[in-house]
Amino acid sequence: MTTLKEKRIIHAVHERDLDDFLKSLGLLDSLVKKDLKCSICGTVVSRENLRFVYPVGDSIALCCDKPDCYDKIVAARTKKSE
Amino acid sequence: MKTSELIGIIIAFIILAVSYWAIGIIGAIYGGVVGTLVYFLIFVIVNYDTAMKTSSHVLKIFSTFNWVERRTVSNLIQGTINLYSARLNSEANGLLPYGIQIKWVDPSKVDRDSFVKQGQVIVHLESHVNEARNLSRATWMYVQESLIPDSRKYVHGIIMRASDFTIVRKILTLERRNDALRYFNEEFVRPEVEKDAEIEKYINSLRDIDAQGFFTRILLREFLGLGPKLFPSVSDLVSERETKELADVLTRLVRKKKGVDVSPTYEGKIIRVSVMPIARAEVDDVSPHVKFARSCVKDQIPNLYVVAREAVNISLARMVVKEVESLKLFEKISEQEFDVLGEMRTPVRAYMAVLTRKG
Repeated sequence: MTTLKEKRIIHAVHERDLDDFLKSLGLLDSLVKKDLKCSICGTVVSRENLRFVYPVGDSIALCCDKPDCYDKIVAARTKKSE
Repeated sequence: MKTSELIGIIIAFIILAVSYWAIGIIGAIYGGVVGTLVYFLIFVIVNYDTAMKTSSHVLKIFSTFNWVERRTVSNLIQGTINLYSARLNSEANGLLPYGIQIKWVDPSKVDRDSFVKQGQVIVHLESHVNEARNLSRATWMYVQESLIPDSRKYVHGIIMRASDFTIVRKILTLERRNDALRYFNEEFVRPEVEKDAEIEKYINSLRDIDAQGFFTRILLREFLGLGPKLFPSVSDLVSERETKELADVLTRLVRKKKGVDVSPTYEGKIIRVSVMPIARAEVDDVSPHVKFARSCVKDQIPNLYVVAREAVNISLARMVVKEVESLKLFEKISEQEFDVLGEMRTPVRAYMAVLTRKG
């Protein structure tokens, strides 16, 4: 069995680094105040249900862990890599 | 035991023997330690993905350190996905052409402007305590991006979705991660099935096709061929319809009861394929099968899959393949033996040869 040589890179943030990461992006206070919403379904995003962070134009969007929202981000990622 | 492991053991033993011969008992201790380390190194180099997966279980112990914790999480995901992707590629080459690599974001090196400029999508992964959830989510993400990437846009949406579900379940089942499988079913499969009954129908169909070894080796292999055939068109309604019909043909074939005739051939405009099951009825007589191969040539079927179960049929199948090749009707691309589930849900040895039209 051979090892796959070409790898798809997934950029990830660990939950232990999440607060620092959001702080670097200037989003931590808004998250704590429950001011941030999923860019796809509009659900309020918290540490528990935050799945993706990604830039849209000049701003930063967040995505929750609902399967439909998850799929839309994956589809966008796939389209981008094509 | 694999050849690489045997070579590792022999090298380790030689180091031990030479050290004992040169220095005596101290040499034996020294040689034992060095030999074990050398064997371990060879094992890691040869089985990189397995070593990575296994290392996550060891690293877990020291996960109070942030760096170790990150490696615990990423090694398990990378090791599992890369190991089983390679295994699925051995069933049909090129199904999952990419592996996966997780790059951790260092928050101290991120600022808003650089993040916006780089345009990366960042995934939030949980601690190793929730590794079942991480594994299920990462595998789902990986499969949706990497399963037959150049061909998926030509496959019917429901069939592609059901194929993605089937591959994720296959990876998690092979890894024996019932916790991750349960989580995957609850978080991703169930909501979809509740919305759309047709997806459930095809998830069940593909499960049955997979149980006979036809899912990766025939269905996905045929889908894989669509990319090179149809590129650069963005989509193709004919191929979408045909992928669904091919899934239906294979479902009927694998669910067929004894004595019931089901056509093993699908003749579409883009996909044209036939399956030749070798059954006991014609033992030691290859002529009916050669006749069938000739009819496939006449009908311009480019791909013929010769399948058989149990030793007696497998040996006849090999004879059929040899005869069909010697008559220059088809050319053998690959052949393999594997285990499938028999009627009593016990493993049965199976065989498949992939033949393609010459010229």
